[in-house]
Amino acid sequence: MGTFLIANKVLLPEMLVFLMSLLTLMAGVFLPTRMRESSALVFAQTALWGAIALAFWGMLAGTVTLFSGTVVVDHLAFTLKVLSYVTASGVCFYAHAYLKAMKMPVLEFYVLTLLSVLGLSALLSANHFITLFVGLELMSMPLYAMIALRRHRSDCLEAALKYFVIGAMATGILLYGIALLYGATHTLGFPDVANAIPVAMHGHHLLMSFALVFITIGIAFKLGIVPCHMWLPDVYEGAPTIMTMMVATLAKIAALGMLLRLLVSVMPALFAEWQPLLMVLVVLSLFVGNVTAVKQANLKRLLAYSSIAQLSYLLLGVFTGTTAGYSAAMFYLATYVLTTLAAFALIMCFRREDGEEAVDIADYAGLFQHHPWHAVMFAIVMFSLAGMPPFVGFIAKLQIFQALLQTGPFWLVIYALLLTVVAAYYYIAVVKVMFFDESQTPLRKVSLGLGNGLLTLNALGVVMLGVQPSGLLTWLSL
Amino acid sequence: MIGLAHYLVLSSMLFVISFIGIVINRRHLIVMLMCVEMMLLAVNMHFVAVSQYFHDISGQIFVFFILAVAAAESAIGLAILVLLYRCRQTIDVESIDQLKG
Amino acid sequence: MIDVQTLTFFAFSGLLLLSAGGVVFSRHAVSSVMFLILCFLCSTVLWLMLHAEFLGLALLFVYVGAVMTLFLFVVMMLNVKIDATKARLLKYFPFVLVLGGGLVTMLWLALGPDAFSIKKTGVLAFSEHYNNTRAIGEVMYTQFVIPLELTAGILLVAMVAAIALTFRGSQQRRVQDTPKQLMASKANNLRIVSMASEHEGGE
Repeated sequence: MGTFLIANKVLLPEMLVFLMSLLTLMAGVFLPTRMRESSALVFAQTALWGAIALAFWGMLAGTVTLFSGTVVVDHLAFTLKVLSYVTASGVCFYAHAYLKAMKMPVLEFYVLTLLSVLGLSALLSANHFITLFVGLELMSMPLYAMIALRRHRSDCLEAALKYFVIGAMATGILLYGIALLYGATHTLGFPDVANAIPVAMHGHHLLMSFALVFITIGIAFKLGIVPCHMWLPDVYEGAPTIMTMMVATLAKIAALGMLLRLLVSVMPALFAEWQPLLMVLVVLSLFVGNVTAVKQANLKRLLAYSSIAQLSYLLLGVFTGTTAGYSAAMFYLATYVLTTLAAFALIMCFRREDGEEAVDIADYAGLFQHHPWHAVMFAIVMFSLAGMPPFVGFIAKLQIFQALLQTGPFWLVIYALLLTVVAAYYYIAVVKVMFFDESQTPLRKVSLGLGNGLLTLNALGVVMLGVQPSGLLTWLSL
Repeated sequence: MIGLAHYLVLSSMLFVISFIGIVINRRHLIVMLMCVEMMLLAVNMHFVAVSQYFHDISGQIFVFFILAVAAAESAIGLAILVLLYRCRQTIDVESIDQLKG
Repeated sequence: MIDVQTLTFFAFSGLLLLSAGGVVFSRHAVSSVMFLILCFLCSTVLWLMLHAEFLGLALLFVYVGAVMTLFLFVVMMLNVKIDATKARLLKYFPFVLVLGGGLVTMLWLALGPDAFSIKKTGVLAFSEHYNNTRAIGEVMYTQFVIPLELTAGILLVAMVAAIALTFRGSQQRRVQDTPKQLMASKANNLRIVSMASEHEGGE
């Protein structure tokens, strides 16, 4: 009975999210039409903020393992879960006015978002490969479908299909890696596998390396880092901006969660194998991401390539193999998510004359003259992504570099610093266009409804956390 | 006698065939989806064989979940495919290049 | 001396690999689907040989019965002509050879008789009372109840997504509603409004 109560208490956030997604679905059927959309937003926000509160309450019980070790709630799961609930709540606020303007089905959006968050939180709590896989799929499948929700636009459908095919293939590769690991260890629970790996290393060294490579490639596809990044710019560009926001935030939280869980908790014995693997990925991603971003004329594509570069800093934190590095990666993820939310929300604010979304950098010429506050917010976001001092992006990069300096290699620090300079160039180029170029045709600003206030808060948050990061840093440290 | 190695090698060959299918079959999206299904079949074969030879039932539970998830996944994939076909009148991957990749 | 088990295994695994090649290289999508179905049938036989009866039959019923029918339905509905993949095969032939050959060789080393010889793994042996379905059922609803619930969520997602993507609003057909016509009366259809004249001054 005691275990049952603890089980209930710890899993209450997930239960609430699941329940509210069903309620939202029912709201679509039984409520009068005019109340549907706002009540769906209320349900979604209740679910997410209720889940945050319940997660904090459940965490009082400490680390708990449930259902014969298929589910675990520890500090890693707890912090990333809270981060994903907050992110999803922000996405829902930003989405409300946008969905109506883009003629996307509103209720389905909230239902699928809640289910996706449910999958994400199961994935983060996974202590068994089966839970991990099912959570991963429950998180990704709503994303495939939601990109296609703007179903009369062929570019959105194309983005959805590309994301789907790549996602399905990545799942296949990841699963084959897990199958190979299972072949060597004959067990699927994380602690058991971690214990069995050193033993299995003797007879099946090649097999283990294969499993590791397949699993890492599977995660690399989900993260979208080089050499598994070809789909990413197309999906970012073609998807409705609200969905780009979700792919750029929620999916990355999942990928880091998986990376920390699998490489750090399950395969610490293979550290000597996975460290060089990560190094190759980081070196390639830093270069390709930053150098390709320079040439981009489309703001969403630029952010796509910049995300490849940003995530490679995050990988750099995991690469160090120290607790300081992992904590730095967690902090980097939190700040990246916060900044990315603001960046895409700002893009959602502006339309061209013909009603299309303003996605080209040239569209934003002279933004400062017409919409000074939005131009300033854009500048804050870009400076933070570039890692300039007063903003939170600087602290995040500082943490990563501090951790990396402890372990080396030194040339990697220099290499990453050099490419940070390249990155600063294209971020500042965008800001320059906004502040100093002459505008051709002024952009039309649309209201985000409740999202307007949140956007201001979000941009100020980027500054405030840059000035006062210590609270978040302590909370996120592993 | 048939040992575990037979099944594992068979599954690895199936995996390689389906992987090659995805790489070279860029012309036809449905065939690509079928290759993904085949890849999952290879994974399932691996799990079932290991599970039965080492008497650990959790591998078969995994296969059960993979089957359920793959069914749902192909439903979503085909729905998107049909929508795209309605929109574009083609599902040839090479002509689907509105987004330059 | 070849026993029946070995013969069956090699016959069906050969057929499996051939039909897998058929999926990839066949000229028409319909025949690809047919080859894929053959793949699943061969796998069912192989899984039955492994005493995994539940999954073998689930593969047959759920996969061949439902999912493959869905594929076939979509292929027939779209009826897309495809060009021969032969030209592409020739173009990519060196690449395919290197990639495929390399991967198979590596996996052979990792999984082949050296790593999993019969000496190391033993033969397939089950007690007389072994019941595959029972063994699965015993853990499915206890240890793995959380993934099971999440799978329910996945099926819900598939349903919601498929409906949201393809449903085009309720059918707005104009049909006569005879009872409604008969029920019509002056009281609920006609409204007399008294209002001031629009043009005060008149023409």
